[in-house]
Amino acid sequence: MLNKLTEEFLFFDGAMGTMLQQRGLKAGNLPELMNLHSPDVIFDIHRQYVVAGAQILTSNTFGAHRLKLKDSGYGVEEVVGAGVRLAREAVSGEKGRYVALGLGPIGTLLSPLGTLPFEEAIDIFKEQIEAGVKAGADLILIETISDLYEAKAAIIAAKEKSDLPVFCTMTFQEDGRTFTGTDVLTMVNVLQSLGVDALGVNCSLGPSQLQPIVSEILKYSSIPVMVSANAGLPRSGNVGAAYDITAEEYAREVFKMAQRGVSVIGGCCGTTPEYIRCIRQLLSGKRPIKAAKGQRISACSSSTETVVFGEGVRVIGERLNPTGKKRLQDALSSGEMDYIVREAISQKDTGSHVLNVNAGLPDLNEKEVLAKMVTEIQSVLSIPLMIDSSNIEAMESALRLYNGKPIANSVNGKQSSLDAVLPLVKKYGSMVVALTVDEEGVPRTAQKRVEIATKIIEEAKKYGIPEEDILVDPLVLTASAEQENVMETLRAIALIKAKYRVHVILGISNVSYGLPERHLLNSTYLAMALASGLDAPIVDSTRKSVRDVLDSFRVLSNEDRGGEVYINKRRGSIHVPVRKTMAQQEDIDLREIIVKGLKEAAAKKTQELLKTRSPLEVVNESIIPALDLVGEKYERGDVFLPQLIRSAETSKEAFEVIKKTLLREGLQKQSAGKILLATVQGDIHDLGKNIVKLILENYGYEIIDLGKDVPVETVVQRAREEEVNLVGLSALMTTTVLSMEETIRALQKEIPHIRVMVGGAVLTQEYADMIGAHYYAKDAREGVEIAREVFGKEKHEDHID
Amino acid sequence: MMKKSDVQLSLFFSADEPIDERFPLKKEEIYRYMRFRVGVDRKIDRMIDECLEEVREYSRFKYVYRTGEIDSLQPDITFTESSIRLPGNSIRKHVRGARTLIFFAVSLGVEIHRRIDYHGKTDLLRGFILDACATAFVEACCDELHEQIRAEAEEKGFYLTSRFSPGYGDLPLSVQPSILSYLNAFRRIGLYVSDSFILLPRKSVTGIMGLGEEKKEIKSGCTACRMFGSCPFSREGEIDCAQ
Repeated sequence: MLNKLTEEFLFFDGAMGTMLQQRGLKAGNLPELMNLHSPDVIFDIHRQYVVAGAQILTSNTFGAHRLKLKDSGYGVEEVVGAGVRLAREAVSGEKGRYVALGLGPIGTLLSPLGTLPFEEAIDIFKEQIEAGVKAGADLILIETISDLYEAKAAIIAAKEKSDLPVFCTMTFQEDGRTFTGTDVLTMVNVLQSLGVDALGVNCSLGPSQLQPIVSEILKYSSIPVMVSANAGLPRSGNVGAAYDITAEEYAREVFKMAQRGVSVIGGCCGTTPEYIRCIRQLLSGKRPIKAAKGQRISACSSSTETVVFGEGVRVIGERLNPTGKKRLQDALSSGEMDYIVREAISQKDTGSHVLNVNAGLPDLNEKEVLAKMVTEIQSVLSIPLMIDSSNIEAMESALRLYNGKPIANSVNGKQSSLDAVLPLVKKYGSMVVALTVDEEGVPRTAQKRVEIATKIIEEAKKYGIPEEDILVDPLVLTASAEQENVMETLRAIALIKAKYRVHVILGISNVSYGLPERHLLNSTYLAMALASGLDAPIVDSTRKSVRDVLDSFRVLSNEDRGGEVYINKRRGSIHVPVRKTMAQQEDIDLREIIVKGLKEAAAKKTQELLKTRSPLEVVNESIIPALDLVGEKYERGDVFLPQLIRSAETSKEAFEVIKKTLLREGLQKQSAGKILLATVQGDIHDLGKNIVKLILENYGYEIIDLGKDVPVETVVQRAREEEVNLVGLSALMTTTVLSMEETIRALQKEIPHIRVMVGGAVLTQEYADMIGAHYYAKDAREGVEIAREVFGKEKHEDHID
Repeated sequence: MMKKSDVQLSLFFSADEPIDERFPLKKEEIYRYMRFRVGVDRKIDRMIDECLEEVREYSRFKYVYRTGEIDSLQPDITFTESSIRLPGNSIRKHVRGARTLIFFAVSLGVEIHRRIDYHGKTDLLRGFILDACATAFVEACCDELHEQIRAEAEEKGFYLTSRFSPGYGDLPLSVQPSILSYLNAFRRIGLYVSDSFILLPRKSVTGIMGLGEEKKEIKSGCTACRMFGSCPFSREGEIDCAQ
């Protein structure tokens, strides 16, 4: 069948739900149960589609997964098995007819946007796929998917549980994005790399509204494109699903798509056998146009953003690498993900297009921490990531759970590296950085670098990894040690690009190692490398000297047309008069800065103070008294919650400076007590918990923040490991207060001496008592009072060694 | 997209529209959600204005509604064309006299959900304010939808009750999945529900209105709410809240 895919049109069936509703299926009842209750009805519909000319029947198994079937009294294998067998029977004895195992979305959002863990989603799909394969499906159709992450889960499940062809279609809104924000280019880039056999769009809209989306898919896709549109838009004049175009109109619109390159055709909501018959007739005797194959692009993606290489300079931010960075090391060891996210944002805001992420520290569980970094950054930012690790397990787990198409950093010319990394690149559909180093080390000459690149590119081809997915890094040696070879790297850039369709990436800063004023050498070398054809420099975009080179290079290379960006940036810095805000006045002291919440002034003032006073003095004489004052005012009703938050955020800025100073001097901040915070399982509201955390941290408490939707076992386990005395739990829904109660009970049972405070919109003192909490915190300020009661008030006054 | 003039009663309708000037916001609402007062701090007032703009920029007025004929009122309310069951006294009292109920779902979409998470990680105060602003917007959207349907209903001689959502009174949140499924809310407006019955993306609301032939005085607002007496948002005489 797959061989025919490029030679002939392939016709799927139309809607099943529409046909069932016409037969009186009540909305809300599971249509998949009819496989068992009324098999003759399902069989009959399948037969009608066969007679109408459908070559592939989709089994009636769209939502037959363990979550939906939970209370139905039936198992997945039973329902899916029956569904596939009915379709099988309907095509038996017919030549050239196949059965697709139909898989729809699970119906709940995956974590971190929602609560369903990624691996659980994979498991849910696997269960369906196993049953479908066993019952004799010929291919797998993953359809009506809105969340790209869910599509990835389903494709991984399909690849791990079968060898069948996989087709995947997603739904789009009229604005060209899915409900969760994925655009067409990103969809094509990610699905194609994950190794599906056909991709496209289904449901969503009618065929005429889908035309622009289909054209864009055809522009980027180098594999067959499938379309199953609705029978127009839902019509408002009738109850139930009624759509506004006829079978003939449908066929005419879909015919236009076929003329532009669509080769797999079916129907979604509102379509009937008549629709399939019409389009089949219109296309009879015609062949798909081969020009449908879009140019393969070289690009990485998050779930909502794609960065294409070769269209101007693409900057890879290098800062999220703990080597030589004490503050980052500290954040990684203590799990302080907010710091990681802030570092990510500062690079994105200064022009990085992709961020390198590395968690390689000797004492760290790299696999766990790298996964956490990737998830945290992806939950907040849409910038694509480059996964940097030499630990193959850590690399695999991060590539797997990454939402989109990442870059694996890296593979090299050693056979052991090729054998370990390339299969992962293929399986998880990533790009890969190819370092030109092998068993003999970094070569001296450009020519030898090209040879290693060739070896990697050829080896990748064996796995089906195209040149476009490879970024070659020709590695620069330090000028202080191998000055004579520095130019060889630049020569290699040109040679490699002349020979292959790969793009070139390069870490710049190594060149200046061991020399004074490194930024000078780095900037100069960056300019030289860009001029030699470097596509993607790995640099620190937060440095002005780096941005200056990039901005000016883009003018001189004709990328920044008319120098618009360059001029605008410079105009901004020259002409806008710098107004002196109150915060910049010399005389205002740190205490007042905190009380007034002048966030931008806090760091600078703290630095000033640290020139003449010890960190301990700054904390005890300025920060804590200021916080106490704000706290008292809040209790009296003189200041309100937003102001309390702002003051807390301001003092956080001051603490950040103090922390850096302590780390530099090798000192440890001593905590006033360790508190574990979590939003309970099932609940995703963590704003309130984060406010509590911020304020407790300001009072010197060490917070273990487990985030949101935290399973009961995790709370208990971490509370034990961290030996905390106080746990704070948050829940915002009546339904999740139940899981709060469960968490408290488990904590009491396992760690009887532990104290629990609870908070959240639906809670009251009575409610808190009822579920067995020791304390009820009606707001963040009260959390501090509770902590003082638990740990004793005197401690915070002396919390630095 | 369908034209307004196509809208009739007793049907199934969905749309995706921009947040425009139809949604004049009462800023007092936002201050109340935040437990704050106008004029106390000019910088925060300014941030609230910025957040209101941000909500407009990142939100859509996505909605779907569908009528359902009541089959039986006892012991739970059931329907002729759907498997929805609505237990409890509150909803029965709320829609007394109605033979048809209108189920609806409103969502601001996923972008604003992401923006709130983003600020929550980077600038907690902004995240807090944006969250409150988005809550006010989704309420305003529900009001707009209610108004739209009410106008239609009254034109045709029907009376529309105020809206009532799962979680009010003794109507459990566990009815969410069946309502979403009846509305085909996932395909129509991209609305999901978690297994704790949290609507996703956040800043989405589902609800029910009764369509009757004559006006009945129905108690609604704070006194009908299960939070009555303990709700931090309630004020005398006010009926809207974050719930």
